[in-house]
Amino acid sequence: MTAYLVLAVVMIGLSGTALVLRRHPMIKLLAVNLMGIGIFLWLIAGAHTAQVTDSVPHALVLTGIVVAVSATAFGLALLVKQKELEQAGEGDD
Amino acid sequence: MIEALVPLLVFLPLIGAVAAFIRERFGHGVALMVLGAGATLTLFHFFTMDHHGWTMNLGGWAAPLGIVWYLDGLSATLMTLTWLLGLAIGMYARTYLAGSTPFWALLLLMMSGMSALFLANDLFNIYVMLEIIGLSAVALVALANKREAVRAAVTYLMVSLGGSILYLAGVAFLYTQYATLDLFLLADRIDGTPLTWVALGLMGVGLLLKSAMFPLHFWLPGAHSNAPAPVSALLSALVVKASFFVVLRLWRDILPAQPDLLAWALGAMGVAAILYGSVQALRTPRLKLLVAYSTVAQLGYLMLLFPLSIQAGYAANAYAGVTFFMVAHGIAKAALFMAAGNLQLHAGHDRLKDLGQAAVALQPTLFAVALAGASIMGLPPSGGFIAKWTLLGVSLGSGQWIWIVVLLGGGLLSVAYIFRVLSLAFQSSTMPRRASGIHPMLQLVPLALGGIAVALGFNPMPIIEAITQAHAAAPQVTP
Amino acid sequence: MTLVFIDYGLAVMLAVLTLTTLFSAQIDRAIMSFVGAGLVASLIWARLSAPDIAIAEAAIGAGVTGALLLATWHRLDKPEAPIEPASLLVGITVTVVILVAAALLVMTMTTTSGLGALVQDKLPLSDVGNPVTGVLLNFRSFDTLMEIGVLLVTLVAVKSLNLNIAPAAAAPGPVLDSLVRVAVPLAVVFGGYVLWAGADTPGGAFQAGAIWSGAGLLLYLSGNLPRLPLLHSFWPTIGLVTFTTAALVTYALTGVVLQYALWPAGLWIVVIEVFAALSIAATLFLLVVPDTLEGK
Repeated sequence: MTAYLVLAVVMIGLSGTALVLRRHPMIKLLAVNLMGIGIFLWLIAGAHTAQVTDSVPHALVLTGIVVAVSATAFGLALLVKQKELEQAGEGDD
Repeated sequence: MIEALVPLLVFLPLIGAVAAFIRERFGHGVALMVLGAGATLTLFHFFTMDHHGWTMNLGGWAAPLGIVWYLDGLSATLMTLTWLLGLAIGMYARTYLAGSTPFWALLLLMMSGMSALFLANDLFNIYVMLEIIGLSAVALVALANKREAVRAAVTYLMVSLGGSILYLAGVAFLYTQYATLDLFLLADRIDGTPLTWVALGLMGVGLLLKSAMFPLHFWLPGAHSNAPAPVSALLSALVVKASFFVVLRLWRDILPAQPDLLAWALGAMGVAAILYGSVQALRTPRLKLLVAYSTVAQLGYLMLLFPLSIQAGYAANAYAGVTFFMVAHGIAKAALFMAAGNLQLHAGHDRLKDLGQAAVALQPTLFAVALAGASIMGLPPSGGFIAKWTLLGVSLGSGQWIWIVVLLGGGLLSVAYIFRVLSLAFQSSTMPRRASGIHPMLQLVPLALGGIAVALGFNPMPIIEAITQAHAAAPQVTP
Repeated sequence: MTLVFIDYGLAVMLAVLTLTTLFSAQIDRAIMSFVGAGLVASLIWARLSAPDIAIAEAAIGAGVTGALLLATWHRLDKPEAPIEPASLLVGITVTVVILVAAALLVMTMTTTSGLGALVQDKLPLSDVGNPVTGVLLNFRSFDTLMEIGVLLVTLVAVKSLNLNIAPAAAAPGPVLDSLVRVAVPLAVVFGGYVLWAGADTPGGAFQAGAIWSGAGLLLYLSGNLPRLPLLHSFWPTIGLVTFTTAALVTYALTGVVLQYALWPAGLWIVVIEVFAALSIAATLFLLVVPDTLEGK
């Protein structure tokens, strides 16, 4: 499973790079989510190398997935709010 | 046994938050009851217990299978600070934010997250708490419902999510190598493999980003200055310190070694923060931005912990000084943001050069600035003075003279920017209108906090002793 | 032997989708790539013997997140995010460096056998058969409790934004109607099965909640969802209330938070999971269509 471990680190690194370089908030949100998938991949591929599959990382990843979807939902709602306020404010200035 | 009530600090605000969410109208009532109970409990606990470290294996499962809670002098001090300030901010917000607002549910959720963060001895559990604190903090900034505030909230959200996910990446790298998330077990097992240092680096950068440590501070001025005043107070006084607390735990308990170079580099970052934040605070035309930049500067002092704690024999005092600094700064900064909120409320804006009238009309508020400012400047006998005095002692004793220059020079810079606010009193030649439109409570709370910030200096020993006791009990990184 | 090639194929696909998500100039293309990455990831989870995560990733990671992204995408009008050539160059350099560093790190890594044996050893005491459920609701139950707290934070936060979104319900048509008539009861039953089976086989509260929220969304989109007055506060909070009550009651009984006593651990876990699943379903539903939050 070395391929998955290397891929995981690459995903984490690339997402981190994009998080810094890309300006659009939507891409930033996607980058955070992809970094999450990279981390989950690392944990699960790591758990798979043992003789008895380790269930603790599985549980951590399930928790992580739910946290990620929550954060994404709020982020998207915040972007919509920003758009609403900017449209409303266009007349002011 | 007062310790038996500690779990309530996590669960009571959770139940309260649900109640405040279901019936928003009663939010403030529920929240103030919970905050009052929590503040009483933590104060009583702090002064009656010794702080060698209290633990509970949640679910009855010991580490590495289960999650462990650990409460020592360091976490108990910050826990007490959090609940006291939470209560003060709640009392202020009750008047400042009239009507029903989601503020109360979000505040209670954050209190629950912070309590659990201070108790956590588990790396992944800390991640979940960081997300609770971060998401509720961003939502609180967006409550201002203005364009600039929501824009700042978007930036803050990206920073907060980015910071936590970097932390989580580090946690994953550590777990695969050491098969535990428990800080104390990790302290036993950890060694300096390259991957371990990568992991610790990612966690450190993520956490320092969330703590707005220069040069990762770029998001703080916007978020803290555009939020409603009680929220600014909460963010500047407490939230940035929650993530710094995790840095402290990592540094004290699990680092495989404390390399001199790293310690000095972190200290240098702190010096840069002090210089940059102070200069910006001297230049900005807006009052709330001035207070926010002062936070950027003051957070820099926390970084002095790293070089000061690597000298054998001085570590305990370095932790005591820095923790005392967090307490003194938290109280004073909450008072300053509330005072800034009052001036803004009275004048309708926060442009420094036009605030003279408001400053004369709100004399108790300006007096609160003077008291809190005395602690920020480090004038005796305030809490800020004791903190800096302790750090000066460590610098002298350990022969790290350079920090003495930093501590004194930073103090002078803060005198300059605090006087920008105090001099408002002499700016206005016209007699003020009657001090109308401001509820007395809004002036009373920052005044009381300013008083506490000064009074802290009269008997600093309980806090200092709690930290040194905790330091003796915790696993140490051998210097 | 061939299975190894499947692994390499999946890894390459995920790498490509990662790149196209992060470095495309069009947002809609990035979103599509991201949803694709989620689906490939759930195949990888299945390959890595993590069926619980495969279900959750498909339902939540790709499903709910994808729905959220697409629903939001219409409301934002910044179709492009141009990439400066300079940042592309930095990106390429960084990619190469990361690849080398990753290979080095993975090769020099010391691995342990993990906690798998310990979990297997203690699993009978946790009173459930699925080790993942055992970790989530017994060994590390406090994580799960606070994670349901994260869902509540998000819901309060989204609600506090007070978005004025026009209802996006599609006009009911014969196709959608018959789809709803077949799919919704199926989804409700399947979700219930996933929840019930989760004690001993892959599945559990999160997966069930996600499936139920999907059923709710179908009903909503077809205009068939009756307005439930209780939806706003009761369903999204009942899970957290139950879990917190369990924490306090167990603490009062045993002196240890969440140390199950009085009833068998399995019974505690079933009760917590049922209410948690209902709350997760309601919260995910409300997060995708926050306009139903309006009007008290």
